[in-house]
Amino acid sequence: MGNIRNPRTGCALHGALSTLEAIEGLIPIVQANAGCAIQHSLACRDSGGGYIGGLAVPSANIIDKQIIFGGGSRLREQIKNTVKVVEGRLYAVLGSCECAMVGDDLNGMAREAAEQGLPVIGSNIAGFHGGAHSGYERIFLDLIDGLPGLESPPAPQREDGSRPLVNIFGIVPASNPYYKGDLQELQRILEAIGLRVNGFFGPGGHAALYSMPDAALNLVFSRWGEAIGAKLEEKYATPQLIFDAAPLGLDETGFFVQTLAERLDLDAAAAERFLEREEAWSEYFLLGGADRYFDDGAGKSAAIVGDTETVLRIGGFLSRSAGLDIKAAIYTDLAEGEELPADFGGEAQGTRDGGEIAEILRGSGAALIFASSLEDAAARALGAPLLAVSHPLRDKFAASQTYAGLRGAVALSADILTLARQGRRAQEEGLTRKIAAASNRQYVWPTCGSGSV
Amino acid sequence: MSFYEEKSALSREKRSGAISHYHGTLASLIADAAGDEIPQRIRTFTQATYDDILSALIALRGIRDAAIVVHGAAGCAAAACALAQAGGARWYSVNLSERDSILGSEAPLREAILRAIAEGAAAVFVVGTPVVAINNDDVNAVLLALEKETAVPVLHVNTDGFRSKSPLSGFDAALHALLRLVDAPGECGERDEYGERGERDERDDSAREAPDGSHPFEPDLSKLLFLPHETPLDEIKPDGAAQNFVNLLAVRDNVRNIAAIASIVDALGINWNLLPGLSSLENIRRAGQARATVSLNSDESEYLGLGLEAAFGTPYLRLPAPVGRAATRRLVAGLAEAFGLGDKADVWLRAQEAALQDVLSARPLAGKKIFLQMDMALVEGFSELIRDLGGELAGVALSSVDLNNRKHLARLEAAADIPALVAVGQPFEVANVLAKTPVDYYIGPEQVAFAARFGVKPISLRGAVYYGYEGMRAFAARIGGPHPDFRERVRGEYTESWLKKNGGWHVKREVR
Repeated sequence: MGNIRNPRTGCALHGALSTLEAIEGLIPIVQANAGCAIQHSLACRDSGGGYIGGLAVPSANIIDKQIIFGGGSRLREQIKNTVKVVEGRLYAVLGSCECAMVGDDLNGMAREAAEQGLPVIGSNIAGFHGGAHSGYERIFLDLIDGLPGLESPPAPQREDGSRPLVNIFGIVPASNPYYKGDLQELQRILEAIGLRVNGFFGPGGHAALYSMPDAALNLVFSRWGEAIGAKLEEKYATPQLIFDAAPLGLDETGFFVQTLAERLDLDAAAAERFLEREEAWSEYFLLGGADRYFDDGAGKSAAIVGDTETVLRIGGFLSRSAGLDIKAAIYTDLAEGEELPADFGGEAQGTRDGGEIAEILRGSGAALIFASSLEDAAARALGAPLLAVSHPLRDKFAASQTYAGLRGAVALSADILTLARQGRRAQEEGLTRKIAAASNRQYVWPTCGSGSV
Repeated sequence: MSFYEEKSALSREKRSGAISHYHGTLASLIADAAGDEIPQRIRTFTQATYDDILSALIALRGIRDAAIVVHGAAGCAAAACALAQAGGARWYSVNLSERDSILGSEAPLREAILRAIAEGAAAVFVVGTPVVAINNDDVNAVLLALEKETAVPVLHVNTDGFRSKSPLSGFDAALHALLRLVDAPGECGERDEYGERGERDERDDSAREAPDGSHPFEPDLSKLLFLPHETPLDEIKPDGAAQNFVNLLAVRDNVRNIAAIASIVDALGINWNLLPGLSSLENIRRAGQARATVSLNSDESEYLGLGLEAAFGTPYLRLPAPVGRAATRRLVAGLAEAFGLGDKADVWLRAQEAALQDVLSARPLAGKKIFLQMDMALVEGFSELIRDLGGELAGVALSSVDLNNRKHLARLEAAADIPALVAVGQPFEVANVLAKTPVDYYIGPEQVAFAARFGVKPISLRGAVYYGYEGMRAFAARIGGPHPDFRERVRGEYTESWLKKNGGWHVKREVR
């Protein structure tokens, strides 16, 4: 697989943990050594945030005795006591590299607890099975297999029960640090055109898991949701509709809405009216932005780093709607040798190695960088402002912010204009200082205004 | 054979009888610790906690010309996203696959180390993980061969995540490896500028000036902190005589605390050499030449102090962490004695304590009950500081307790009936205590927002200054500020039955 400098993506266990932590009522139980769950919480501390996490995650903290003699009895004890101590609706036992190597019968232990009427499922995951994205995929597959064996909670009463229900897959918590806002924006759009969304992440998530089979359609927004959609199709004959990425901007969202309206026989006129109203609001929010776009030279070149879904979504918007020239597109979730998902015309590569990414960015000469906080140094070396759009984030708290749909397009456009202004101002300040020093006079920087003539 | 010459460090359990699992009262803990050994206990329910791997990574991350190679799956180095420092060590993951776990990982390890060296590392620390330990890969053979081949020190940090229940063992494992880099007295003068163990790669510094993908996250304060009293290398004489500087050992201590102590040492006119946090290999190499060594937090760095004393004869001043008046006074007095400062230190101390009177006389904690969550090394100083400010100790959660802590525990005896936990994390136990015990303030580096859910006012120590006189003033200033009420906003995580139960129900004696 090759070594990695400045690792960023975590492992399959970490992806499963991010997913479970984001579902209300779900409690992970980790059968691993003490540090595995903490590695995850440190890596994702600014990119996720769930109902449970960090030091609160139940973990068997296995020691040498359990490595030598097996950890089955320790796990049995941990499951039994977790249910007594930690308030939860569903408990998911997660494996680890050690657990896989030692051969602990994790699923057997989970089954044993379920037979006693406890809501417990098992997921024989191990860190070396893949990156965090594969952990998201794996835990959903195991939930689909495990849930029917458990007693389901009463279905929630819905006022809009006649509308078709859809599941959303492929937006990976924490690996997409804006997943909360992105999913909420998708839900807003889908509800506006007459659908109901079965939201796993956020309030009511536990009940939504049990409603998975009730969906009329599974919407898949990245390759990491395809196996989940396929499994639901096989098990419950629910069709799936696959998109390469979540929509961003008027064009993509328009295509998305029209595709859905046709597929589910929705009121096409109502969908059209929604899009027209959204377009009018977007224009209103961005009034005055066009002047800044041209004055500050925002329509320059860009480089983008992130997982495939992020690169396709944001890269597509930058190149098609914002008029930016994509000099480099770097995909951080591809397997070695895997085909590149899109050609934006510039350098393209699949890598999660920090050294390689920095080198590509340096060579790209891009004027704006859309990447993770790890690329900050490389962006500074280029003299290009950076917008943190992918994992890991540092310092920024994403909360409900989104770079998806229509509101995400407005937010991203505003951020591009802000970045361009910051870049221009930094350049002008540097030049002003140089001129001031050269003319040997003291220069006092104005307290407001752009500083330009 | 002395401990520092062994292949690897002993675990804390074996070296000092450390325990990391306990739930009772301070009185029962003191009684438990009174014998020749402290009985080992285990929890039958546990929450995630730090392991020796994470501690080792924390200990090594600040060494700016070194590389950390995490010999495991990609997830074993995921913490780099948070722990890596700008200008600190470079991080590499060997990124082991399932196939490597079956066929052995020597080849990918070799590749990762060679890459780190090619990219400018002047020393490489290879941090072990469970996959490699279970597989019993012959790591040392790879390291020895590469060291010979490249003339760059390649050091094994013998961690595995499961042999010790105390995360502190990871600090010892890292510091044991680091001791190998320290020059014996007289060696410095025989070397060229950068030492014979490896040619310094000129790309290294330029790469740091022109960022190359190294972590950009935290400001590099090391250069700033080293400026005032750094001893130029050519002043270190090759005759082995002790030099006019003190080693300051800082592992997890934050930059504000380090700066607070550096300013005291500066005020005394003593040169200082900081390691392993915010250090370079040069700082480590010269450590054996110091006149004395001081730990800021001995729970974390004692192993290095003892190692320098045993291997190089550098006296290790066994001082408490400089929290509160008595401990800060002892730090100053200890340094004054080691450096022969005479009355100068006394004069300085009196002036500092006089300036502190207005803070203490305000007694902002009067009538308040305090819960402390921290390392044993800090508790004594904090309990004194709390008393000085008018407060009363109402409970403690200690990260570890060992046989060397008995005298510190005894000094807390006045508060013997209060709840006492020994745990890193385990917020469910803290919840059990806070649900039953009246507490006004929760003070610690972890779980502070969690404590607020019980209506307790939290004071987070993460990133805060609390060392020395500056620390006392800063801490006092944080008392009584506005605190949001989180009780109504956040749902409880724990069952009602657990919150009412005896909090020690699940902690059992370990059967070996």
